[in-house]
Amino acid sequence: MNDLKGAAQALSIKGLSKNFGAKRAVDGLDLEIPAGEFHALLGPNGAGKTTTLRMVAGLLKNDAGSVSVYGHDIGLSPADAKRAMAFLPDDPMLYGKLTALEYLEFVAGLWGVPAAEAGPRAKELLEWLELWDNRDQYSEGFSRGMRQKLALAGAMIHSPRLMILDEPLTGLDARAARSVKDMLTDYVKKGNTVVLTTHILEIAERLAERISIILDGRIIAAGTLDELRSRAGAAAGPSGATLEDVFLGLTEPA
Amino acid sequence: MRPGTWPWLAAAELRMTWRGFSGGYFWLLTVGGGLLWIAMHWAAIATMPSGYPLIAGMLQVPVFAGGMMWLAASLMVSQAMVHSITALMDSGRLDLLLSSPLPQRAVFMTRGLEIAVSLALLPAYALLPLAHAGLFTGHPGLMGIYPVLVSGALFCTAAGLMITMTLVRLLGARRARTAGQVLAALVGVAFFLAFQIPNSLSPGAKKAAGLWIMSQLNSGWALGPQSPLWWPLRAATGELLPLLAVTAAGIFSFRLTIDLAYARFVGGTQESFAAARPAAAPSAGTPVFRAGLTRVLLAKEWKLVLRDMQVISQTLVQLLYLVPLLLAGFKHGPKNPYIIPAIVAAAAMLAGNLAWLTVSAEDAPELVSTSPVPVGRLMKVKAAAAALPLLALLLPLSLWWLTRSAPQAAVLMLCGTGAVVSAALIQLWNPCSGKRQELKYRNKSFGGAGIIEMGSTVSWIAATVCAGMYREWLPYALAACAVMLLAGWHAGRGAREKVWGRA
Repeated sequence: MNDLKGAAQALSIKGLSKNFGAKRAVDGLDLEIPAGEFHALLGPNGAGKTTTLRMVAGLLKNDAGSVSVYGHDIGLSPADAKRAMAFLPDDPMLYGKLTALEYLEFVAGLWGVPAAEAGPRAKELLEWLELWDNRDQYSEGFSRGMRQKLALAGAMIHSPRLMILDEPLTGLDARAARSVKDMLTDYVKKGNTVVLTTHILEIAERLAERISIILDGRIIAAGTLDELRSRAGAAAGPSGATLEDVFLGLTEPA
Repeated sequence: MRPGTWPWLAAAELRMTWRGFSGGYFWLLTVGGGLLWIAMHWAAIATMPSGYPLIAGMLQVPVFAGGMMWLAASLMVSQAMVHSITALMDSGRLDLLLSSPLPQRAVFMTRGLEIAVSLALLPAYALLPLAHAGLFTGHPGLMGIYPVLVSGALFCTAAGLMITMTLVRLLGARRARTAGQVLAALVGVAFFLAFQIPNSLSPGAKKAAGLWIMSQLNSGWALGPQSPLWWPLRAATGELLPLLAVTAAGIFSFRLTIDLAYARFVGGTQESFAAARPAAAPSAGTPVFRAGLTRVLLAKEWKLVLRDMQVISQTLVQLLYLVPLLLAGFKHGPKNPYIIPAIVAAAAMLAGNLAWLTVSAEDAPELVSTSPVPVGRLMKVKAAAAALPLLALLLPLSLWWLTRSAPQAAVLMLCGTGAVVSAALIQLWNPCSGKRQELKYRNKSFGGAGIIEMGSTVSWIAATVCAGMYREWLPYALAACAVMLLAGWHAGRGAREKVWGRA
């Protein structure tokens, strides 16, 4: 029964902690994100968002607590947890001397996507992201936005069920940002899960079904925008306050 | 110092460079280097008796000391080219400087002086004890080493910058970078290779060339004692006219380079930032991908190595130093006892470099770490990517050697394979986080894999020599190879845990 309940959660974080020397970057963080949800993780600079996501992706070892992805504990069965997930950091993880197609071939190989499926999928993704004409160019010559789009194609090529995106729209022009937002919305509609961090609160407000606000390594508030508004109460101003008002009200230094 | 002038900028750059030096290792090096420098002074004073006609003797046959000077100069020009290319591509600080109201000439002047100072440091360390010793032993003229060092560094910087600028003009920034790296490698070994030419001549030709060179050294305009070629040497001993000429040449060439080329430099810099690889004709239709992780990973590693001209140029330098030995070996055939050890050494060195690139210089370590494939498995394929090409080269070479000497062919195949696999394993067991550009510095860090890999290569060379000539010592040499492997495995326990043990 517990396993079934765990599997229903795309991401389950319990008591997660991480120290860097004397500094406590993440402090007993708890977060449950059900499958099929578009979730935004917001917080001021240095609040612990990126550290949390890096522990979820298996890039950092946690000091305490647990992370499980679709019921697979990242510490106990990392391969199963990682197979279901894609992590897209704000600085794209690319190889300057590989072409766009070669990069996608490599990522597909890492995630074990059969070659017969990966080729057509790569074409589809590059066409959709308007990179098809640049498919045989090294990514070192790409603009920031093109690099971000290629990294996104890499994240999508193995059809993950959970996508974790750290500031995914950084460097994208308005047109590209719109197509990425549309793509993420469609992706969630198909039953997949997205967790993203962003400093552009308007994106979280428009796209996310639920929002968590992190401060000093802890989740201080989580819920829909309306729930957050009511929780922020007077601090956030009158009813109908924007997410910015709510965010500033909740994270205001005491 | 007035803000916005080149001395002000140079002081700011110096301050930033100084702040980069820190840590216990730096201070250990500074104190150790300082003590050694004092010892060098003592040795120079003790071995430079005042009555000995040192300078006169040196100037009568200037080819040795003068030749060394020009050899050092060629290496300095090579280094200046490498630094110029880095300066051209170093967008971070240069962006800020070029977007400021500072005169672009001041930016270029500062960059040039930085290069000159970096070139002069090592020769200054080696030669200044001689200059100082001269004061105590009756050779005050040796203080001429000071201006010669300064003007030499300025001249070599100017030469390096001018060559790089010319390449930028002829080829464009992107190609100039590649061509400059290869050319710098060639310039760096040109003198060494030139000295090896006599070894490849026939006895008659060698004798004739020797006679001609001797006649030139004795009285010829080009190489004789009075030749302008040796003026830097004369200047270093304090002769007034050469000293003035050499100093003027250094300063003038540097100023001329700044005045003529800074606009081109700035143009080249800006172009280098904007340069993109020209689009090749795209492949048509749906892409066909390779099947299987091993094939995909091997292809990726080999492509990244083959497309990195900096790596290729650095490897080229190492191989070029072996060319004379290899040529002599092939010329004299199986009778030459050094050819197989040289091939084994070259193969091990290349395997170590390649394995460091594939295992430790991963461009996207986070992508690899977030994939579901265990890092340990990926690392093994990466080490194989380094070893396989060298084993593929060793096999036909050994088969060809079989037609000349079967026992030597067996030694080549077995010891070559052993050396290559050992170098790759030591790198596999000692992963670290490096960048491709740091390849040439990887063995400068004492401790860790570098010194063990070197020990392993030396052990395999010893095994190769023993297999050919001293069979009774072979078991000891092979034992040393095994000990080095074990040491490599033991030393890397912490690094493996750190890199492979990530979730």
